Amino acid sequence: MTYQVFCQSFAPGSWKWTGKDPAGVGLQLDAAFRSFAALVNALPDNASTPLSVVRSHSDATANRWGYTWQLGHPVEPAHLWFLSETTGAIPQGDTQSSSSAAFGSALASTFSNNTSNGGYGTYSDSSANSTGLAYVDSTLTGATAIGAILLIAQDTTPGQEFFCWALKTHGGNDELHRDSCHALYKSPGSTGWNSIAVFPRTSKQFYGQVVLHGYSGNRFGGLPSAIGSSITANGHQLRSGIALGHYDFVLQPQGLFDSPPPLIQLPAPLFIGSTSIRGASTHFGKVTRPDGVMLQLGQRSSERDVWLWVPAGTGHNQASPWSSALALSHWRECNELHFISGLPPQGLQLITGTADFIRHFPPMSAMGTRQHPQQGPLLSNNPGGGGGTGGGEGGTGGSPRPTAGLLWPRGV
Amino acid sequence: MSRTLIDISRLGTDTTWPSVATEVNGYLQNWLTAANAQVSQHQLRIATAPNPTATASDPCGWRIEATLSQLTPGGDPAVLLLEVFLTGTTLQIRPGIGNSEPYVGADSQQGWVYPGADVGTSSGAWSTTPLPFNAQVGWSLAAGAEYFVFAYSQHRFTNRQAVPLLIARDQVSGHWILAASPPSTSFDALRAVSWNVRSGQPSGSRTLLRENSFAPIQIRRPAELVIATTDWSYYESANEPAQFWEPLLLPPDFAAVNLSSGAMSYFKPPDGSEWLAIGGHGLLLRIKDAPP
Repeated sequence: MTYQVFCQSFAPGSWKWTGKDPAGVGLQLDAAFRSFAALVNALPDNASTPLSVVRSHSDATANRWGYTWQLGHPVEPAHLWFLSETTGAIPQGDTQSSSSAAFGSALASTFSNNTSNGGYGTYSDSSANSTGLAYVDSTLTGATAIGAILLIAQDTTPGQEFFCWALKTHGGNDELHRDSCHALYKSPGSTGWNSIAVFPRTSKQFYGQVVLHGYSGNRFGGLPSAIGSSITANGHQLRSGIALGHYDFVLQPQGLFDSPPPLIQLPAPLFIGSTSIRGASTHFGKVTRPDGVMLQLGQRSSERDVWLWVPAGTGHNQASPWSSALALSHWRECNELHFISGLPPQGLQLITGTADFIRHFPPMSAMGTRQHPQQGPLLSNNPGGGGGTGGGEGGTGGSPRPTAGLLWPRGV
Repeated sequence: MSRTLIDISRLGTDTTWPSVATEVNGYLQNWLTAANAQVSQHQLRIATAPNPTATASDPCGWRIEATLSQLTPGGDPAVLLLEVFLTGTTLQIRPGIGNSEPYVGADSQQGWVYPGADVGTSSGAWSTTPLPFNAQVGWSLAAGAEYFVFAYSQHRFTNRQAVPLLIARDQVSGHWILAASPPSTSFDALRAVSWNVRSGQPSGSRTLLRENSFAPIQIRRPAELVIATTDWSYYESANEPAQFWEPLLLPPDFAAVNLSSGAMSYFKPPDGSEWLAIGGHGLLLRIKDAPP
């Protein structure tokens, strides 16, 4: 039971983000995360990268809601948080322009452990993706009919550690839903935890985005997204096996330009893409296959929707009130979607972006051609010299180029 | 020897496309005979070869067919098609499927069946004025990683760099991939067709998977084709079930670089491997392996 998927329902009219009820959304999520952290922190390979809770819902003052988690790391421990945006009245987001919760990150070393900032402490240097989420709960006028489902997917298999929570709402007007998810995961060959948060773009939430964090070598920060280039933009394609790159200004100061760490692989169970046209249900989509079920964690969005693969036989060993996500009656079978799986990339080599005649030989310049490993030998009066066109090991031997009529490069 | 690369670059003053294509076709025929013997479950065929006496206005190029061991839903072997013809100043790429059953509404007015609505024709403007050009022909018969590639570049900008032929084994399904990229500055001008085992349908692509411009310049392996065959399929009429797809991967002698306008650029990354850029769409061909 290493990979588990389970959920809990919160009745319309009574649930709210800001409640401190131990049975409420916030503290149930907190408890699920703490229990996952305890399991994976006990694994030998995670000794230097423990997960911990820095702040939870119970630390909030006033109307604040949210959590701050620490990603343990031997060099640069980091914090990630997901907080309601102000300590004043809760500005629930019901227009495209309002954002009521912020997703942010900072190095743990920049944290001041105090009770300001609504109980969440302050940072001397942080970055926030404040466009993260416009949320609603059933305390909002007009949204009292909305119920919520907190869905957790987790894997405690060494090397495949993965914790993903999704909050899905149901009932009421379609425009009131803000289904989103946040996941922590480990990627083969890299030290430290990585994070992905997916906020769909909807008619009432303008800032759909995927927020990516993780470690390039020993440095924590944002990761460049390869999601857009991994899928074709036709509106009903989702894929897994996406590998994120690194920034050269992060790798170069660490001396990693010549030996870049492996690409960060997004967690295999998540399928990310666009569902702006065709078959996807608005949210609560499901695709049943002989070998498992695909569940929609996000909601219909051009950028980005997110689905979760639940192989047949996946269960959970969580006590009530957690229950099986597949038993929910809200799921609706979908068609006209395309799920594409990928394979992990085998290799990455970085090169300079400009010609340097050491790593990168451009064609058709006198200097470039003279230095060109393949063309250069042709310039000397040495037919076949160096097997210039021979093609690596076991080349063809002499140059097979015609002996007459050549323009480029030629030796006279 | 598992890999061959031949440089057929020319001064160009007396060299025309038909003569180059005919020369390439000779190499192709030899390779194709060996490949068919080695990959006997799938058969390649040159349905139309370049016409050596084509005039400037005659179409001149190839129609290649691959008959796969994979069966269509109708029970016939799947047939992949690729047409690459220079007509006048237009080099046109046309990927297709030879089995129309039981497609609905999937063909062009000429009866051509594309692998997907997103994967139709692609073309680029080509100068027929004799010009100096770089051209390379490469092939391999390494088991499971067979390929034949022909790259042609008239100058250093992407609008004159093409890979008129790329025939390679998909590293996931073992089917042939037929592909080509025209001389074009469009990032997704490439066209490829293969067949997906998992969804039981043609699989098409119009671009290599490459990092965006925010990422460092990188050589990435394996070279993966981003699947674009998703707009319609054997279930065009209505309510096509959700489909599951495997990726399309080129053999390990290929890689992708997120740098365009670089045909004939040569890269020597720190691991000791060496790569030659071919065409205008970021495809790299390995010239030298990294030392063990």
